[in-house]
Amino acid sequence: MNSKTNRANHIILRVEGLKKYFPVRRGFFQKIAAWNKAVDGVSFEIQQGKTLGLVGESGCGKTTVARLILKLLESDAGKIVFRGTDISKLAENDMKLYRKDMQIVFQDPYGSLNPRMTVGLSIEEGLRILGIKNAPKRKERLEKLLQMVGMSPESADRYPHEFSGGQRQRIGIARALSVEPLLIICDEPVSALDVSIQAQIINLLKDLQDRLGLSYLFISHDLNVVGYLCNTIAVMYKGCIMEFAPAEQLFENPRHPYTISLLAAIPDPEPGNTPDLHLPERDLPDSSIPIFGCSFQGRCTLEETRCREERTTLAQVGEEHFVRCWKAAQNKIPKVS
Amino acid sequence: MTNDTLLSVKDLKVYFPAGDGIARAVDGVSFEVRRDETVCLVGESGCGKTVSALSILRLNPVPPAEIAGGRIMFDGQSLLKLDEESMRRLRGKHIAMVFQEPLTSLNPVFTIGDQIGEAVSIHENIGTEALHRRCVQLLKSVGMPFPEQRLKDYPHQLSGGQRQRVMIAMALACAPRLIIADEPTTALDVTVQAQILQLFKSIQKKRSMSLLYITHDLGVVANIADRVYVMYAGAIVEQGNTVQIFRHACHPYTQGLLASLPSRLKRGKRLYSIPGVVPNPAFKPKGCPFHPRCPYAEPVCREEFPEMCDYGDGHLARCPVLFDKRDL
Repeated sequence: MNSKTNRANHIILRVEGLKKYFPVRRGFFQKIAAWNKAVDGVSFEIQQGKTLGLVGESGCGKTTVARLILKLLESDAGKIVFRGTDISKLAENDMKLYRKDMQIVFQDPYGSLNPRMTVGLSIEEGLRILGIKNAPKRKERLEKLLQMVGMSPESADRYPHEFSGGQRQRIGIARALSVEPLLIICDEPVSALDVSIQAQIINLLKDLQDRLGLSYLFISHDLNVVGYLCNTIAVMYKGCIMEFAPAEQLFENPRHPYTISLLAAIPDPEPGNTPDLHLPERDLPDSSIPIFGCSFQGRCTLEETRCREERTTLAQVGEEHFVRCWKAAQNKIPKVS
Repeated sequence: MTNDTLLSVKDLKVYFPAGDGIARAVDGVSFEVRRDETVCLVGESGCGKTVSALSILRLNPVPPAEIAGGRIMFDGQSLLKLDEESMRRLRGKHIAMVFQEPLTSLNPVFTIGDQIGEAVSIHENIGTEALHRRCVQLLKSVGMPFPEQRLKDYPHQLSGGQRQRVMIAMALACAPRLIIADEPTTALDVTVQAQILQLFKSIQKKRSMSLLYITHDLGVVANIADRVYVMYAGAIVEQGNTVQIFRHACHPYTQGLLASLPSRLKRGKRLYSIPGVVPNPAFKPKGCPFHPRCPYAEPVCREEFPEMCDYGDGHLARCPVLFDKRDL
């Protein structure tokens, strides 16, 4: 029991049954024709100092989850418990208290920095919010932040366009760090970068985590990056978490048919290893068309009548390993080698 | 140049004006594509891979681009010497291209059928009925479900993967001998990417054509290529077959790229990262362009542009320093 309470204390963020439906409007009067279930009952928790990877294809709702947690979007239902407080219903003013503890690093380092502000001013903005009124102190802190992300103090007087993509991403990270957050949501932070730069930023994120004890929610479509960096991984498909497991578990013993085909599709930098396709030749179906039962139907090769008739639930199949598939829960998925 | 060679690019130089100076985007690139072969041109953004590919079809706007030297031979013809009319007859018919962004390269106001049909009718005299049948059959060959209905669709009605299939169908329209694909799967999800890669492979097997595939993704390269050219700062730094490149990389840049790939098997270990950034094509360092980032750099690297060193069996790398250190 003791260990359980201990564990609860270490959970920095818990999301429970998070939902966000967007209206799909059609016709001359723009009547609501359907609901796009962008996030449909997502639950997970992140432990302090750990990294949770949220993976899935484009349009599966992973960025919407990030925006809901940061309250850049209002959720329709569900709880967002950050450091023991449910922030999902908090008013904008009360939210300020928590905002500095949660930061985001965006995908596009070109679009997320103000082109008219010097790098120094961009980062200092956070320090002002933190309430550091003394200018020399701010400057000192600014230099320390730049150094932390591996940039020279002179960069502070330059403008974003003078920097490369990787450097801009470092600036974005320094900016997020300026308010001393506990949790950083990284929304595809390395997807726009070249391979040689990608490794630099991944190493930087890892170093900062070790040094500052940060927790990350790492959103990515790249399973190689997620597999390298994350402690636990949640696989999302059409607004639902299909599988949730510690990283090693997920790669060694994937249970959901979707996870299996996703892993099989990773191009392996080993000559001769052809990705093995378990997916029928179909694309992601339109998520505004309501379906009953499992949301993976139509693309699943192991589909049965029951999949179309029964609501799916997350079933536990191992220690901290959950899967949203009745067949996987009953061990009826054929093993792939 | 053997009889087997379909395309050979020799010492190609493409320069662009950049402020006061010139950007040597492609600076002495040589490569060849043999019949029925898949060749990958791999490198980071700005290394000149797309400019090299566009020059083959002469699609770089001149000016600002300037072909400062080199020769491109396709099936015995020198492409840089052809007049515009013959070039137009060649594009699409003998060499076709698939671009990265299928949404911007398809015309939004014409149906899929119109656009595939156009690709055929430009080069062939063909009746309406036959054209329709041909379009259906082309869409079928790229694995498009319900090809009859899809012909009436507009590009926005299709998903990213389907659009790329349409692009490939258009490229296949006149059964070209060479397809140049410039990052055709970069904008797609992994599962869709896997489908498109498989499509390329099966088409190539069936139709016996060559593929020049441009990408920055080493995973894709290992998957699809027969031979690989690694580019850095406007030059080829290493070439060889996939096994040579991936198992026995001989250039520090190739070695660094492979070592910096994240994977779950490297968990807990620090990722190798190549220090520094890709040089600006207008301000390339003197000597070997990679020397400021290279762990093996010696004084000579700062002075002399390195020669290609032959490791045998078609495996070449532009690094004399490592070549001298190889254990024989």
